[in-house]
Amino acid sequence: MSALTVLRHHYRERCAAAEAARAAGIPVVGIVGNTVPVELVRAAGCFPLTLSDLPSDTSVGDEFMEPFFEPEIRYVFDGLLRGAFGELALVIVPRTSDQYFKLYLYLREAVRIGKGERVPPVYLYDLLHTRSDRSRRYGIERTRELVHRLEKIRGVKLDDATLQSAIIEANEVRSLMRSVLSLRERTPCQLSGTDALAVLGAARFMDIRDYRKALEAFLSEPNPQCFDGPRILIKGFPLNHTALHEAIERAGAVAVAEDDWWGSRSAGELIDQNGRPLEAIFEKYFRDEPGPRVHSDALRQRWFRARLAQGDIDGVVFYVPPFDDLIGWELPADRALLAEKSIPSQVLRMDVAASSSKLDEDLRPFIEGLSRARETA
Amino acid sequence: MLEKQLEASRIASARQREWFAQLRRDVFENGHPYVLANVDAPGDIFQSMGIPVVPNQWWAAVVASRGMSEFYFDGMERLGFQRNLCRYCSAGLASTLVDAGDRAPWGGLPKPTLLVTRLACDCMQRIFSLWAKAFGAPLFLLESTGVTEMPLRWWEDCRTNWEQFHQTHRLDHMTEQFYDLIALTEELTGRSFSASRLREVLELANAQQEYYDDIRTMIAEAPRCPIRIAEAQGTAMIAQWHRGTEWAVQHAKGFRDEIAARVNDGVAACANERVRLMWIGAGLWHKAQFYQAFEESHGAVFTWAEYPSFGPDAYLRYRLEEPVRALASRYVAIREWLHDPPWANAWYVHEAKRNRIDGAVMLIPTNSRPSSTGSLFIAHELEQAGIPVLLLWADMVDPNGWDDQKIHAQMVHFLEQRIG
Repeated sequence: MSALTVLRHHYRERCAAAEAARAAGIPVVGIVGNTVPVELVRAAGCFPLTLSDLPSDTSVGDEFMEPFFEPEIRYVFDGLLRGAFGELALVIVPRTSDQYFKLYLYLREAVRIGKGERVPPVYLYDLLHTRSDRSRRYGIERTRELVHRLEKIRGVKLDDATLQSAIIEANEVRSLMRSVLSLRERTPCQLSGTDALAVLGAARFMDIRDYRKALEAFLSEPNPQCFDGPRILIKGFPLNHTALHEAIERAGAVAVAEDDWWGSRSAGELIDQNGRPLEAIFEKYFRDEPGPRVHSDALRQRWFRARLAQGDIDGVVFYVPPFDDLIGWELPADRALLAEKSIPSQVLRMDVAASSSKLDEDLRPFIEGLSRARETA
Repeated sequence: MLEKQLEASRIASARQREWFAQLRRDVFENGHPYVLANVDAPGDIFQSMGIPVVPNQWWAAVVASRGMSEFYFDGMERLGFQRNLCRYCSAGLASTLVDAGDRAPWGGLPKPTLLVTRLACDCMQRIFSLWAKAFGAPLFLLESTGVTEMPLRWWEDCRTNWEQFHQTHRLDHMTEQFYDLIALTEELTGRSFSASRLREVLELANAQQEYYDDIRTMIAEAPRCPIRIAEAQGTAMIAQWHRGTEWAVQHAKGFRDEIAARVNDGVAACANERVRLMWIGAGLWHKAQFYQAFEESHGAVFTWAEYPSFGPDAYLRYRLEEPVRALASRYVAIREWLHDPPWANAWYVHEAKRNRIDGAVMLIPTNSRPSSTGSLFIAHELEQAGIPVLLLWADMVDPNGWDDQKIHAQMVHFLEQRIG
């Protein structure tokens, strides 16, 4: 079985590795989003499982969660009410989006009113948003509290040496992930966006050592992929699935980057190995992880601008689904920026996971236009 | 427009118009400072420094009540902002970005000295960043920390025991941010902050809320509601924006006395009152006549809305030895009290019982999501307490999507089938 097949499997069967860990006696901790320091969870001897997928049936959660919540939040709420993720020693919810915070409150409330018998203990990791010294100090204190909570699960003391090991292990994996990303940046592109999402996304569902082995194998295997179509950057609502990438690639283009923690921004910067370990881990999540609450605008847009500046993007697809109420605020400025740079863009306002034929129809003329422009050039 | 029954309402409306005209003169002609702030920012600090504050949500209500929402939201769409973005908090921004010429409500907003908002939801930094950029004015953002300990009866515990009620690290953080805000305001305006003056302002604010406490008690206990609640809500809210002034205290006293006289005289807002309804959510600013629409046909009277009750429950603060910290204790959870479980549901059920409510109508604006969350938990708890709930999926400032016939039918069904 090729490494790519293994990684695709874990991206698809998201709870499989967690179930194996549980069977081996390792406590599983549910993680919501990308701003919970999973290094701390691993250092505490637990398996961090990111709770994320497309919802199929959310009828249990729908009794209390309004329909305008994002699909991922609905999936997590419903799944935790049903006990769909198996036994979890803890669920950690970050305060880095309004909907995450509401999820935390809703879970607590479901338990309080007797509707959450299957809900595991829920913990709020209160990471603030402005990059001030005051917010930083507040965040470090909350991170210390999280450490204390995690220590209780297995009775493991998280001393500096343990945390340092977790940092080194995570950095090694992040370096490999950056090598994966570099395949996408080559011309022609050497990894489809669809596969890139699976390869990078599997990190959130696998044991870190197994993931590292799979990535090393993937990077060392002969790579037959080569994509010469128009190079697309995706910006918009985070994509925990490959539907949009598949559609772009069906139309003859290749998704080479996305301003998204599931894709191009999954690895980010390495954690500082020379500082105090707990603070270094905190800084990574405080300063480098993308999210809807990052302030300021300039900071939030920095990656997008830098990626465009590499000069290899033929077109940008903005993904602004009906459940988004944030990206739309930035869209006029983003489009103006692209107009300045003469980069064509397309805005998709549908739920791309729900309608593949409509998606193909909408994308086709845009990508055909980009292809013609490349030929002319 | 809503038929006004009270002198206090006429005084408040006239005062607000005059105050705003004066503010425009002061800003444009005399170069005085003013602050444009979201409703959950600490306006009392600016009041104590003699700096007027225009609350974002009050301005949104002005825009909507002048019938300008559609014009501005259409304009925003032309600028590339999609229609389903949060409307309540962005109506003011729209009134700045879209030029309405002579049609601008009350002449439009002048450039503020400072904009302030609390990061209670994800939209706020975007809306206020765009607004600050459009004005070329500085912006101060107050972080909103996450609460993890939520004793239920906040409306009782927070008046005096606020220090014990709130988690210390959250209260510390909000207090420190207020001091940062004070320092910035001093720097921008050249005005000095005085803690003793803030204490005076908070004492005046308390006196005002105590009158509202009397008002809400009279409304709850009178055999029939002495005043149309939409009018009480609008009037109390206008005066809330002048919190901490002698005018606001005197106005609240007059308001209280007027209602007391009506109760003594047995005057009812609707003589035909048979069903007591609770309105949950922000005011329906574009359709104020809705509140009276079922009085004649069904004897259904809205007898409860957030204001005036929220004032005494959320704003009153005793123990003012450290006024900045006391004020921080008001704002550290103000939004959560209204919208988040378990605080919001507990409060609404408590108020419903106290007010002998027969049924609740809850506004769920899907395009102002932070105002809509927690709705289903609130509805669940009210229903559990034996109070039927009708959910109205509509916006408070944007009439687009409001279907008169459909909503009328829903109300009739609710009144006849659920309440009977």
